[in-house]
Amino acid sequence: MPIVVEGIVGLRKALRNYDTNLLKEFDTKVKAELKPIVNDARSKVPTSAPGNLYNWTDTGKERKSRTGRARAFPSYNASLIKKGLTYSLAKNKQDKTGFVSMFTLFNRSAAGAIIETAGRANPSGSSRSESNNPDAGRKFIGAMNDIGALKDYKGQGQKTKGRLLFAAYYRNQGKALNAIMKAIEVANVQVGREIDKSKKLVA
Amino acid sequence: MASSDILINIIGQFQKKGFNDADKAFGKLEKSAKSLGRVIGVSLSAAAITAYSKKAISAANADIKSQRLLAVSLNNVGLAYAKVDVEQFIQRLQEQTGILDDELRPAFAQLA
Repeated sequence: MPIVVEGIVGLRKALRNYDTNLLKEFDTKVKAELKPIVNDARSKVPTSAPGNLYNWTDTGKERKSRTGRARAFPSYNASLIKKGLTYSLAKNKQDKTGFVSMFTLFNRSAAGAIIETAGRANPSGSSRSESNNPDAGRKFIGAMNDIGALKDYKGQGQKTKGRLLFAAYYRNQGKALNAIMKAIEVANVQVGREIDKSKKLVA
Repeated sequence: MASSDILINIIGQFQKKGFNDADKAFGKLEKSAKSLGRVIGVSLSAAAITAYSKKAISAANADIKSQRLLAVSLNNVGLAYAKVDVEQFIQRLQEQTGILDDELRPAFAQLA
């Protein structure tokens, strides 16, 4: 669950309605905090497949799944992984618990998600592995650990552990969150002033 | 957004519009969240509200306990008729000195 700030959706709407420059100013401040996290995560993506897993490298040919799944294991393409590491200031769709999120960091590529999460549940590989090599899982996770160890950005265990984006957010140590909260406070005061101004004009 | 996306939601808001399940889940907690949010501008997470409520309840319990103890002490020394006056005196003393009534009542009970 994100940090809950009541009225954050309305605040952006109000900024847009009263003065688009205020919204731009606010968005610039938020972007300035999110960009370094994304850049940090991107900087950890190796140019070639980690651990010398050369068969994982993208050759441009479409792979076929060995296990009959609709989607084959994704190839390693550093530029695609970097492209998938991004952020958004837009309001997300309401989730099952009724929350909408703003200011989201993403790791969108399939290969990026594998690097992020490999070994979270089974650090030595899954016992249900369908590989012919019984040691494949452990070796693969070991290669992923060359990029960096799993870091828990929220201290909530398995689901908040990662190597790229989660680790970058962990290294940020809440600086971005603090700066965004400050930007929200400033924007809130600015909107208040604009409302007062328009009230005086009406009176 | 695919559900399989790996993401970090930094800031969010609870939206009631078109939503029923959370009403059941939150119940009264949601009302307290809204009223608290109005007071402090930023609303607290459910865990924080639970912690706040627990503190408030334990504080209220301590208050009631000290009131009962004082009433028993006054009854014992035959001053049951003075309960209301004593409570008013303790309230005034609390406002003047800034010492909590939970501390003043046992002291007064000892004095009585």
